[in-house]
Amino acid sequence: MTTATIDGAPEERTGAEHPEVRAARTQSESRGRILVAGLGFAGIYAAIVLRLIGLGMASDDHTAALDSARAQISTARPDIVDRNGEVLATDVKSSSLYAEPKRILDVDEAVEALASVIPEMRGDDSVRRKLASKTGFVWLRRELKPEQRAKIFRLGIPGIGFMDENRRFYPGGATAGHVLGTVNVDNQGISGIEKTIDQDMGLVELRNLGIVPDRGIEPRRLSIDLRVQHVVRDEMLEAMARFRAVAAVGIVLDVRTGEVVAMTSVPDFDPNHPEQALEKQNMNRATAGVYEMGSVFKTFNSGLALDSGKVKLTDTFDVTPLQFGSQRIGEFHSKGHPLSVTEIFLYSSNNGSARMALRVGSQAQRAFFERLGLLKRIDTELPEVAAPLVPKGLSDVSTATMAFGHGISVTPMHTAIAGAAMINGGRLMPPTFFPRTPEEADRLAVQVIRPETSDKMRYLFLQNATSGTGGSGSKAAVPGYRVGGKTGTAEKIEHGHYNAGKRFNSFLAAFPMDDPRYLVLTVLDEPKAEAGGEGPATAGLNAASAAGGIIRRIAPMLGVMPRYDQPRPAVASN
Amino acid sequence: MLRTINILLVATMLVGAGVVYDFKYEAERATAKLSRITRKIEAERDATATLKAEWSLLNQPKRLQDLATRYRSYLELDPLDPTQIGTIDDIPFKPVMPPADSAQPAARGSIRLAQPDKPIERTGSIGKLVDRLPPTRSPGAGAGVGSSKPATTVANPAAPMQLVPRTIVPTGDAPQVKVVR
Repeated sequence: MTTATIDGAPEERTGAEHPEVRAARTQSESRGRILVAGLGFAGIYAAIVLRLIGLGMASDDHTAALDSARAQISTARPDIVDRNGEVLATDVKSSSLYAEPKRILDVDEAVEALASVIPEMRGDDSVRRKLASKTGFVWLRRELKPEQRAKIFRLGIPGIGFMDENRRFYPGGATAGHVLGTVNVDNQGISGIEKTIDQDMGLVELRNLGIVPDRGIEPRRLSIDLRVQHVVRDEMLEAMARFRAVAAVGIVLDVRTGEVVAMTSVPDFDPNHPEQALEKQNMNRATAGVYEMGSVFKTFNSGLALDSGKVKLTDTFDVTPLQFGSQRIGEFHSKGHPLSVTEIFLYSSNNGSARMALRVGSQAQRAFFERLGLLKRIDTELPEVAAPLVPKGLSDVSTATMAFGHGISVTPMHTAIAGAAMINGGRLMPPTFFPRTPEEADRLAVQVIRPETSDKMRYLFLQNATSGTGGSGSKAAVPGYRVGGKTGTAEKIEHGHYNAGKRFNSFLAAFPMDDPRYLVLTVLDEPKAEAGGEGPATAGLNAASAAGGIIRRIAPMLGVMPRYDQPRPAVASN
Repeated sequence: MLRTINILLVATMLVGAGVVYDFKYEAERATAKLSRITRKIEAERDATATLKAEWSLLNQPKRLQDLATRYRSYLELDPLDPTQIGTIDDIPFKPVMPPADSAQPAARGSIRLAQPDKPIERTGSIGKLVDRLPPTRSPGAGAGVGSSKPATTVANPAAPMQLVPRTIVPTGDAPQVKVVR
């Protein structure tokens, strides 16, 4: 009825209109309607098409997101291998078992099923309690074995799942701990080479940008030789126990390239347990500790004196104690007559060395030490490097004491790298923990002494470690390997005074002396005389014998052939 | 006419839809297979990494040293002495006992060396061995190795592979090994 009236009303009005006008109006009106409806449908179809396209694309996005989420739990790191390709550090996948208690249907059944794979879970009330709780997520067990994971997976218990994690694993344990360093929970390097690798590869930046490096990153090769590293650590641990030292350092360098073949500082830590690295006694003494190295510095002093041209091997020096005000330089093995340069080196005469340095001059000595890099931080890949402690002013006293390694504190690595330059023909190159070819080494090398001076140094080294010459390093001699070396017995400073009871012993050795290939530096901190041993705690008895033990074992590994046809060099004098 | 075209078009559409569906299905299957294989590769890779880690764990010098120490007396092991190291040149040749024309075959391994009529392979270590035949050998090449008379005489000097044993004459406490570099 109402419609009738409404319908009727326009009819009454339109009745007055001309039929043609009316037809035209209706046509234009319906055209508009059709257009609107068409647009509406077009919009709907467009939306559907867009949605379809979106869905089509999204399926790929989804899997990619899942993959990256999985990888993000703990990112992959490159493996670290030694120079022969032996694994030093690697990532192992470990699965962890978790549960979503809300989704567990029957707690008893779930516990029973899990216990069939992990028997300890049967008697464990905490597992039952965890599963019975109504929380969303609980860890049940970290680091499952792969076969356990497979078995549990096959059980198909609802509400039980796995999370894969990358965990850093160091098969060698503590063997190369100080070189490798540690990673944190997120598998980021926080010390040692691990940290260097992160910085080198820009892993930190990538991670901050949210990019997770794909797995299968090329392994990083180090210059370390695992076998040599083990031998050095083994021998240093043994020497430490034998001479009741508080710490020991062993370094093996390739003198031709500056590659670090082995570096150990005991006591050390197992990188699989990074918390051990924080203990103070486990610090890296090889590069991060500075010490007065003692008589080992006579190597550099002899190099300085001979290279200056002011001193010849046959020159003799007075060895009576020098007096500087109230300070008097002691003589360890007094011979009571002037000594030649060779003898000063062999008998390790402090006063003779001091007089040699004084003849060359303070300025020249300082410049020489600067050239050898003994006055600044070592430039190498390891983040843990200490700066040396050097007397500020130039004075005769400091020149005299620095001649025999007192009054200047450097790291054992400084000593090793400068020592390598003394015997390899005078070429100093920064130590490296990554492989370096001889060509690269040639580019980096700086000539610090003349090759002829280096020849003389080799002669002194060989003399000193040959038995029968009275040299202090004869304990290090290994028949066939032409070992040469210099001992250093320094007294440690305690409360501002040198304490004769606390020593810092070192031995700088190289072999084979006719064409040096490797340098071995051994250091013992506060060794005591061996119980039932032959004498006092001097470097000639402890550090040298440790170096000899190392060389005996590593020379065959490093491919140094023993030779017996070498004529013994003539003794210089006496 | 129009009808035929329509039927044709409808048929084409149906076939097209079917083919597209099949493609889609195939692609899905391939994707599933791909992801299955990818997962498998991933699992294998992880297993390889784990095995590698285990291998290096078992091959740690420390572990090997402990084992060697433990079984030292049983296996009669001793640390290597520098005097035990030598090169192939230090090893005396095994004397060629039967003459070259003997019917008896040479011992295994030296059969090649004992065939004078065969052409000589101058490759690898064989070539190296040939270089050390009597005419080219420098006498008294080193310490400890005697340049004394060979123990056996050469049966046929023309034959290239008649090897002359070198005898080691220990002289007092001198090391018995000589190194040729």
